[in-house]
Amino acid sequence: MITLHLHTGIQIDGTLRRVLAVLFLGLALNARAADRVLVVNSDASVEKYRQAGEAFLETWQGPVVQIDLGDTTLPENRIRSRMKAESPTAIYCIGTRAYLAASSTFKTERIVLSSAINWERLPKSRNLDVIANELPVENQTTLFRYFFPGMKRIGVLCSKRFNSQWVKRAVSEAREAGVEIVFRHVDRPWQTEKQLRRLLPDVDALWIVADPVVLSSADDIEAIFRIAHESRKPVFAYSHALADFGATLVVAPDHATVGRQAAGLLAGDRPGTDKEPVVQHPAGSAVTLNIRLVEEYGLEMNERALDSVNHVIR
Amino acid sequence: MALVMIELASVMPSRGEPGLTTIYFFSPEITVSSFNTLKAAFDGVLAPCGNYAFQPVARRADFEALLAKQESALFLMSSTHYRELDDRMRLTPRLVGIRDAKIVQEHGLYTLKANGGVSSLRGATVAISGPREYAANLLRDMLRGEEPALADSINFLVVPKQVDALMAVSFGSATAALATESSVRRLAEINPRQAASLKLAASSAPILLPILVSPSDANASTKALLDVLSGLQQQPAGLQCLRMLGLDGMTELPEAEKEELGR
Repeated sequence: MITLHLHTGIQIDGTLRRVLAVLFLGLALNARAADRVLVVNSDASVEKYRQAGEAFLETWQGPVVQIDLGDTTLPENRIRSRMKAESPTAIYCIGTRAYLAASSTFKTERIVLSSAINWERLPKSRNLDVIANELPVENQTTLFRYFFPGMKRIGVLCSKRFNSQWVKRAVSEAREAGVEIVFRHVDRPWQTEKQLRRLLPDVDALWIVADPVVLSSADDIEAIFRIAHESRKPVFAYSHALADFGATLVVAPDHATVGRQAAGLLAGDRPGTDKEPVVQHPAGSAVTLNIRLVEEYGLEMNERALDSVNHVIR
Repeated sequence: MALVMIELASVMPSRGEPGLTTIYFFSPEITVSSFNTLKAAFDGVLAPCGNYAFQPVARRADFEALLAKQESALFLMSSTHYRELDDRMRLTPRLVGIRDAKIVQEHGLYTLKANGGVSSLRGATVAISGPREYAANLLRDMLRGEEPALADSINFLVVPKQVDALMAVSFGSATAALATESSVRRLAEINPRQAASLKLAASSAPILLPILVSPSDANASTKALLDVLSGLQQQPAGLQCLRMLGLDGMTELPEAEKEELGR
């Protein structure tokens, strides 16, 4: 029998000691607000990562240490040693690479992850908060209709392999914003043009979503925009990188807001348990509008929405 | 409204060229798109009317320095900011913005209907668009009669525009949002379900929309520009510029409001 003497002088047997240890451990894992934060950036030279990191630093009040994995040639094990040496109470990971390094180093500390594509496929650490990489579908479709109230049917090309679950959810969520999503599946890149030409006559606009089969190459992306332009159908996109290809409207996450959200999460106590990540969506959107294309296509736009545009292309 | 994009080219505008009358713009209430875009749009509309230019200013201190020095200029600014200016500045408010046929706006604190009252917001996250200090002052003013100390406990989450702030509440990224009544109405037009899930927990007194101010002894060029601006909404390109600022037009500030502003 193992005995433990507490300051009360009460003797506790081994069984009760193990129960108490589990209870105390559980309480510790309902993490308290962070005191010392380690910010690990996958690569601060990438614009969206830089924005998130800078906004976090502007918002966070306490001590912070930064590591930029894009700015180091150290091997992974040395990076992990360096991270461990900082003894953070919490870690903010910007991007997948940062998360993989941090989660393999820290097993009980609180981790906030942002800016990671397909974070659901990553191994889950305990005490994890996530700010997803995408705006909710309802947010995006609400903004589509905010700018173009008359657009009710929006077409989507996507693969069954990567987006079958997403598109089912999207159809339901978009309905809340008064938008009907009409989708066609593309299972091989060579099917894209044919499916696109079938889709465009039935919809008011095309919404490009992140799908590696549909967007398998720069040539495919250019072809999609060319065909949509020939049909005078506006293209809505999820990334500012697609603005240069000819997107009429881009609604993307505002990465500075993501950094501020991360700071807000770490400033408070983590709700819930260590079993499931707590997930938020990006709270801010960055909008790019190509007014030249709006005029060229003769689109009816709600001009009162102009005060909600971050970048205007003329 | 979209977040201000501070651009180095606009941080400290140079003094105007001779004969040029400039409209300087600074307002925490209007969070606009790229300064370059705004300037290009307004300059394009003003060019046929005379030797005029539009110049957004990123920092309040720079704007106030221009107020103190410039003679032949107009200044587009928030009415709240105007009230805080040194009385020794000899300025006269001339025009006021119009939105939805009104010259005032009401700010509200919006939460989910399922939430408790204002007191349940202690330590909560409130989504705002615009500077924290401006939002904090607005919130203190809203809660003055009830829970004045509560405003100091709030954690602000700055987002690019008011529709983002309202949607942040629906999606759980914030417990409440500061937004104008007109923003909520716009959300209701496009997403009635989200708007219907919100309730008004507190509100501010009506605040004048942004005002256009000139030196008290305005010269002929300044007066001519005022005429141009008060008619800007009559042309499509001019209306588009005003819409970028969240306005439908500009009109002469009524005498009662001039007196109330104290100048």
